[in-house]
Amino acid sequence: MNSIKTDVPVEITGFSKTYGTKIAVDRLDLKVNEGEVFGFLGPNGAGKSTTIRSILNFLTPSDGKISIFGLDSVKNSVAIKNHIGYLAGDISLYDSMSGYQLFKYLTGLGKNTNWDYVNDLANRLQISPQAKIGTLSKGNKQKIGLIQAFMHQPKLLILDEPTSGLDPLMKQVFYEMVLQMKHLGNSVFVSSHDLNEVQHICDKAAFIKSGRLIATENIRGAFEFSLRRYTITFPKLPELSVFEKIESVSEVTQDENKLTVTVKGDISEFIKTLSDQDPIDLSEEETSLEDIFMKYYED
Amino acid sequence: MLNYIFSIHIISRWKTIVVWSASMFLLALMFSGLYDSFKGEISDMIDNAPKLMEAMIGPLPKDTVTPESWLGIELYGLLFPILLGVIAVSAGASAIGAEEESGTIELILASPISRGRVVLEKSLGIMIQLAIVSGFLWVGIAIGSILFPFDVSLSNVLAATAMGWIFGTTVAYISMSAQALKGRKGLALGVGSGVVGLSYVMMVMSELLDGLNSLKYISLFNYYDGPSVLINGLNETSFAVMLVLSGLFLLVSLYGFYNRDVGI
Repeated sequence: MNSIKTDVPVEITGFSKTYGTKIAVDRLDLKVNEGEVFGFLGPNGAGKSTTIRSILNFLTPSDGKISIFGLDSVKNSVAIKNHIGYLAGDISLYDSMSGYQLFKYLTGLGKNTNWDYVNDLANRLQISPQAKIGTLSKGNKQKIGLIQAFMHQPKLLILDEPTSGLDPLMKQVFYEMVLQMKHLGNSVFVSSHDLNEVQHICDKAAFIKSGRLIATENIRGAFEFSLRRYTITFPKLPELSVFEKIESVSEVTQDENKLTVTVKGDISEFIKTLSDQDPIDLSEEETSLEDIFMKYYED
Repeated sequence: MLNYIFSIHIISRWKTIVVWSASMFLLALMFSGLYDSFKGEISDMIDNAPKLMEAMIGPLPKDTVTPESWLGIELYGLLFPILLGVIAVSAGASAIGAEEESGTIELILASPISRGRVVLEKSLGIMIQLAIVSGFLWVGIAIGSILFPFDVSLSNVLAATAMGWIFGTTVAYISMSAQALKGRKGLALGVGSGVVGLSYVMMVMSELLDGLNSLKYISLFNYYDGPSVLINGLNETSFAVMLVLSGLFLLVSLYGFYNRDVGI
């Protein structure tokens, strides 16, 4: 009998996945900690779904290792899934079943469903699980998909585009559901294109591009200080290279007598250099996840 | 009952099962009812039948036409195995293939069950589906034997129906194994249909050409041989051959589904 290590919900080491000669994911390393809401970001085709499907053992890694609660994702696939809730992107459900019939079916396949919690979720999401799934709108199908993922209160939730089709009110309910799981000490691995959503609910986010991990950022706490954009007005513009050579400066653009400088991490060297250039005005822009996203993905 | 993959397999196909079962029942009833009126005509036809006809529908009676030989000519020689083959190819290719195409396989595989259980339950679902459809053929004949002057050996009819069922199961598992190996429903439909078609051609050729007589040993129709079973009773050896073949292709399905990526 394999015992699970709840303190390491997801640990991916050197994971690669190839289809013939095409490399979908290239030597990915990731770690999701207990009680963490982890965002997984990247443009279409970056390798997000491949990674998620490999975590669930739908796909076998070409190289590297995926460990879920300390167990190998391939060898211990069945044991692992006792503790996982999964919502697929563009989820497919059985149209001829009602929501309740689907939940009962999945319970029969081994999910340890908390029926009081199912009813609570249905009330909060304002959905009737008695209705045939085939008659539901996309948003309501998504709600059924969310309930089946949450209904056994899994230690790890893997959600691919979870708020697709939900209206703003229901998105808020979803955020509360995620935070409730987090407060129970459960972890959430969420792939999303909605950067506001990731910023709203995630503790950390990993950025993937062309199958490679390019950065992992703390969204809470440290994030606000990790990327800043300054607009500085000078009586006489200094050479751009003065700022470009600073290690923490990632971008410098010029507009008449103004410079916009993006600083990542420690700003002390930038401030020291700036004071030597006699600026007449300085403003700091609020950074957002979108700025980070654009920084990583614009070519 | 909703807790099992095999029961969902059957419930989700209930319309198809009802239509095919009703068709089998009505065919059985029709041929049972027609026997008394047409047994004379069929006797005249058999006297002048070319060898090709015997190769195509199985052995023809040498003297009088009995209810068993009538069913062999009209129903169990070609119509029943071909109809069941069509159902079986579709059932085998779509058992896992339809779930993969629609994406619902992800719901199943995200649950704490092994891929082996998925294949085994789907296989059980196919067996039950084919048993229901075949069973209605027997029921139709049984009721026909009460309603019409059609004194047939129901035990031999049951044996021939069972041969059809195991024939269908074998064909379905061949289709399913192709889908399980490659993940392509279209390919599985092609392989299953091809096996049925080639099997039939090989059986006909082996009957017509002495030099190709040994071809019959690789034809599923040779092992099925419903018309002979209707007259002589169950052929345990042929049944066992198809049972073993079904088991082998079930193993291939298990191997294929365990060892490939799903939902690419």
